[in-house]
Amino acid sequence: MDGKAEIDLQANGLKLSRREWLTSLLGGLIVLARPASVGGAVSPEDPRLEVWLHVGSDGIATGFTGKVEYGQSTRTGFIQVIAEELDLPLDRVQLIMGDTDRVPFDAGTYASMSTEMMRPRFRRAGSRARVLLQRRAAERWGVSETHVKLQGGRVLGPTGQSIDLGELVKESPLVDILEHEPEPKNPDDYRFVGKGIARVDGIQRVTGAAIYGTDFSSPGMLHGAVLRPPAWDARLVGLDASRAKALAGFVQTVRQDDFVGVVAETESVAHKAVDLLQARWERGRAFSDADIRSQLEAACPHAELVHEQGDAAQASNRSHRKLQAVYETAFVYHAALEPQAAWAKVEGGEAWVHASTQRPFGVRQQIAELLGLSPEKVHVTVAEIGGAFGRKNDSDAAREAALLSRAVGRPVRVVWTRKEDFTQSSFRPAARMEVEAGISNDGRLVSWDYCLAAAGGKFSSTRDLQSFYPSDFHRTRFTLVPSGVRIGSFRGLGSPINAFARESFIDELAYAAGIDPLTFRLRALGEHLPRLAATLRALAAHSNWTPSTAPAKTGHGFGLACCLYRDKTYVAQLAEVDADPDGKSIRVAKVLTAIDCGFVVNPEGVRKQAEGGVTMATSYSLGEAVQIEDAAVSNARFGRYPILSSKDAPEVQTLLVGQTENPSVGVGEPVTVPVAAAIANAYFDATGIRKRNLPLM
Amino acid sequence: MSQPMRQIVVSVNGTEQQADVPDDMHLLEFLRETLGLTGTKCGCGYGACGACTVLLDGTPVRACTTHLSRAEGKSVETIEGLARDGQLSPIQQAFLEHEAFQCGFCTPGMILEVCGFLARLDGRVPEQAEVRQALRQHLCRCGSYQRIVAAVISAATKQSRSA
Repeated sequence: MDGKAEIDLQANGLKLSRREWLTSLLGGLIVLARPASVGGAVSPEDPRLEVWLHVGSDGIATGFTGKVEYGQSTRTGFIQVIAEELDLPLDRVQLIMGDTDRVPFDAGTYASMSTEMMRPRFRRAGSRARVLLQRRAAERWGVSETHVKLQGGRVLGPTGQSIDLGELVKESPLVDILEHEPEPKNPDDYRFVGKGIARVDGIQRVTGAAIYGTDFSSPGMLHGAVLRPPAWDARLVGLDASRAKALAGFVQTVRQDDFVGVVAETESVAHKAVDLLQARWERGRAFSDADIRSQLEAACPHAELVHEQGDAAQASNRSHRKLQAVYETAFVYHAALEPQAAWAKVEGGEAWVHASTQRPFGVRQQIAELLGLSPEKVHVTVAEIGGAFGRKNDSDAAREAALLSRAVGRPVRVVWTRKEDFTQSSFRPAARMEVEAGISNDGRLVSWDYCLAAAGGKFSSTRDLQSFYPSDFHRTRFTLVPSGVRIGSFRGLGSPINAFARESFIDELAYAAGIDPLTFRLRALGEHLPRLAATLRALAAHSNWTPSTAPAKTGHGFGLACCLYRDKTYVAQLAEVDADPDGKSIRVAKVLTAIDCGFVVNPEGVRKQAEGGVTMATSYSLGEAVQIEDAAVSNARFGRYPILSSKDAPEVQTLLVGQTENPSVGVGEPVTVPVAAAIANAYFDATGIRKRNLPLM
Repeated sequence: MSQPMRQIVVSVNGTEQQADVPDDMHLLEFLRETLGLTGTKCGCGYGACGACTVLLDGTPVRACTTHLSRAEGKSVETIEGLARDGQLSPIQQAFLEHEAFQCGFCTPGMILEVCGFLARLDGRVPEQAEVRQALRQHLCRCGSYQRIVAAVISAATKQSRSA
């Protein structure tokens, strides 16, 4: 870590390096020569240099992006890209992330798109800045700009001239006047990009200096807490706040329709006051997760057709064997360790929000609508985020903090309890997948008929719905069951759900055809998706995959699965499990991931995303299920929702198989996608028992 | 309703702190809200995730379920107190070198637990399984366990060499 030397630790805190200080500051305090109109007002497609990158007279380059960091290492990766194009030392590049006043509009940090979207933009902005700086230096020295180069933060001329690039922008900032798109740097010459550069924000994480949404405070700040309904569809019909008001430190109750919040001097008094509110609720229909499963069971006959290709009757004639199976998955909770948290100050017709969110511009829009302000009057900055996984696409806490701050005229922070974070979450929907397929007598996939029924959330469940394995007849159907459960985005959306059914069933078909599961997949793919086939082959070669046409049933098993994520990222995974012969327990010993995510900006970053994604997906595949009784979550405690700990976490290995010439694409979501099926397939190999429900245990 | 208050004297990261606090206050609130030491995190509030782990007279405790009166006259160490004279502690350094974190929210609690764990080992380098067992009540939803275990063993190895 290059900033190590700069830290100056003091009694109860520490001074951060310049970059760390800047990136941790709340917006509004950083002075940069930057057009005021830029913040959020320009399109993310705007190619102008000054939208994405500012080169300061202090020789520091600042990148601007609406993407945010919550552990993916994108802050580091973007800095590598900028430093590379400008030949700047890494510690002379900083980033402003997710500040709606300063960065171009961005829809949000989701779908593993950060590197895919930002690497080309920062490459282009960096190469433009490089050419403009070369031109300035060439003019100053009266030499040809082809004889001028950037190196280590200086611009060098042909006969020993040398000037810091900050000097070149002292009189006027760089403005993009290029008539031609310059060539970005040749990857063969890279010094930073493609290397496992250490996280630039690591020191803050090991010293406790990183300020998360739960930690941010300001002078005069009060604390808010909100009354929660006992069930998703409960309506508030009566409220007595007299006991809450008697608490020392109580400030005010705020009510707007069903929203009831309390503002208090401290966080604990705010939550105690909410506990003392006497609310009367009108309950709606009581339902349980078992009721939802019954609904899902009846749903597929009424499903809508999404895609159909080929002749069903002909394919049926060619089918030597037909198989069908039903798979089910549970509601899953993100369980980011940092709960929903946000700070807001509403004053004089404007609002400032500092939130733990994946979607600062979404929050800006929501707060604007909530308070009746124009979006330009709402200023959103993003705290350090303690895990997100799709849940922080929404910031409920930001809306609540804004309502409470407006009512009391002081800044208010809202930090949810774990119980609130769990019961009020927006889950991955439970789902049922019915699949039927035919194979020819030589083991070819002839027909594929798939139906997904999801307990709410079309957006949350249908990603990668359609199988990529070619077949003569191919049909995909989908239906939604309105479950009454709050549904939202979860890492990978529906892709892991659909892959669990597809990749488990492919193994079932392979065994039925008497063909090794890897061979069956490669044959099914044929000439289709060569990069996926190559990824599977790399996995097999690395792991010495031994072809097998029947489960070993030795209590130790191997299983593989693969995916193509959003038509971009190729992943193949091999799980190795130990299981009791009676099938009552399972331990995932190891997962090997082969991934082709195109050009890799930071191999360590990719490995860490793979390690984390595999661990999280192993956890929810083995044991996680949100239970529902009386139209509410009934197991909303960590002790009753088993998240994998270090004790049972698998060993994770990662193999990077992407080629330099391909664009950089996503990692964090795709690496979670095949995990469940790989484990279920390994469990079958170990025991001969086929598990078709998640969680497996 | 006036709240019963009590006076507390406790040493935090080597500095004696004296404060009048509500009688029912827990150590976590005292650290975060009274002293502003927000490096200690609250992940659950009921002792199940480990994010709030601090050292109480050298022993890892869950600050969220530790009543402040239990710390009376004792010494508390938090993540903010581990680095000395501008130098990270060996365990912090090992976490940094192994990048044993993603979002970093669980990191302070993990590091403090490891401080207590390695102190108990008294210079012995633990086996992987032992480390995994020792940290089993700390959740890392980002899934950095493999690197955390590697960081612990590396810190233990360095400590045993320098001992």
